[in-house]
Amino acid sequence: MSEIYKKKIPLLITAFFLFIVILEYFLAVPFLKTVGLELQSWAVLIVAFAIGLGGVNITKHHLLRISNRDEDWYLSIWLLFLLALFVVVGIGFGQQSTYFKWLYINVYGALSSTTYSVLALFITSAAFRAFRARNFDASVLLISGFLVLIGNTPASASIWGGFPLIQEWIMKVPTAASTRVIVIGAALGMVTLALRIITGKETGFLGGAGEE
Amino acid sequence: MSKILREKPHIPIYALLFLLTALPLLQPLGLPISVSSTTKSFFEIIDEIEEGDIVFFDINFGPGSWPENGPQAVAVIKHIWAKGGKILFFSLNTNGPQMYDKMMSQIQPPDGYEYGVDWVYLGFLSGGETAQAALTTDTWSLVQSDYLGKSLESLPLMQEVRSAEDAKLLICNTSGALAWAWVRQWHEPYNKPYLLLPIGIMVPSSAVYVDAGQIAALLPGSRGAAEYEILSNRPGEAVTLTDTLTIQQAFIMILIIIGNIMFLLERQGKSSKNTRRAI
Repeated sequence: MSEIYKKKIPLLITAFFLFIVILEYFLAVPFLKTVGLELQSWAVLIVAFAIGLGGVNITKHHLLRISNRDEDWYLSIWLLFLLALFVVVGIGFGQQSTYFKWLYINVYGALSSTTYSVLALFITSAAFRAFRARNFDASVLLISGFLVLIGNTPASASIWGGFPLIQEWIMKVPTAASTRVIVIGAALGMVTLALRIITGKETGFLGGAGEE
Repeated sequence: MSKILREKPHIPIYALLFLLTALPLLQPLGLPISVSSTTKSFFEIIDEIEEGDIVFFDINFGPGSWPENGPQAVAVIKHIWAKGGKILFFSLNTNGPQMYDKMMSQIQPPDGYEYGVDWVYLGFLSGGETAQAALTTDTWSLVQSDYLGKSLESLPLMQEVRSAEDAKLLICNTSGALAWAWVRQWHEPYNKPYLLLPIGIMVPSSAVYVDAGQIAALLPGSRGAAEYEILSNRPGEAVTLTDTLTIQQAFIMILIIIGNIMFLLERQGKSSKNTRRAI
């Protein structure tokens, strides 16, 4: 009985809705369009609830870390404090309020920009320490990377008009070819996953109910 | 110096990087900016916008990527408005509302332009790709009010917008992966131009969609924004940042060269030591 409730019914529901959404995307049938639109509204609502669920989960996880005195547990206190602060100020005063804007710009905005900017330090340091012609493969990567970098520099065409053309060729031919392989591979993977879900072979999303 | 470069190279590298970033910002050098064919294609598509055309504009990034995405958006919005276009803004990223505020603080709408008539911001829309599908199929089914809480019925622009069919094109200003989902939810079902404003790192993966015609054109990062500002004769934040970008990239190239020379010298030294030992 529990097998039916825990696995069979959820699988049937998933397969049914997946099938409708797929048909709605590929077939121009007005009835399917109406049903599809309704399902989209449901999905948007569920995702909105999922954001709230994420908030509950993160609170639960960090409360547990604090009570167990896990490593760096005091950072969890800080996280929960900021979480509560943003929720209280955001809901209490509104996103348009000076208080929320101040918090956003001076706390989240500043931290986010700093994290992103640190990449510049890593890239520069890596360029010196790791980007070396150790063997033939590394040399090919080094030369092509160097040419793309020159071509990407805003002033490159002023130095020599050929730099942007070489860069464009590298990006359009070898890079695009390898990217296509990844994109097509990922798309085939998604199709396979959808087929496995429809046929009931994929059960991982049911929360550890195992796989056939 | 050689010892420091070998053992703790990051110290002088970080110090120099800081100086090379700060100096051009304090004293702009006015280094040349060449306009790429990619930017020209983007510009030409926006330039074809006619008065009253509606553009869907997805503000899909956060403060971390503002230096790349922000100037792109500002330059393109100014151009759309100069052509008489109307814009329906929305965000599939939770940071969207704050980025919209920051953008609008840097753009002066043309004379006679009015919120609700010439542009509307719907705010953050949760749901990712599902929200994209709902927005394009039936915009009113997804949202009932705008970012400021005004009902859609009260906004004249919204009387003209029911679905993607009413739009001329879509622009996605993004630092994230939902950009590819727009290919499925915009270009494939509606066959209307989809323009991308991505951060620099997304350019190689976006190029395949541009080649296939699924993305009509893209503006690559802050460099693209600077080129766009030059093309539209409205120099702004991106042009100011370009000196820094050029110098940083030149610095990285110099470091690559020095690193490889040191590596080759070390390898040569080791091999000659081994030869001497063998003799």
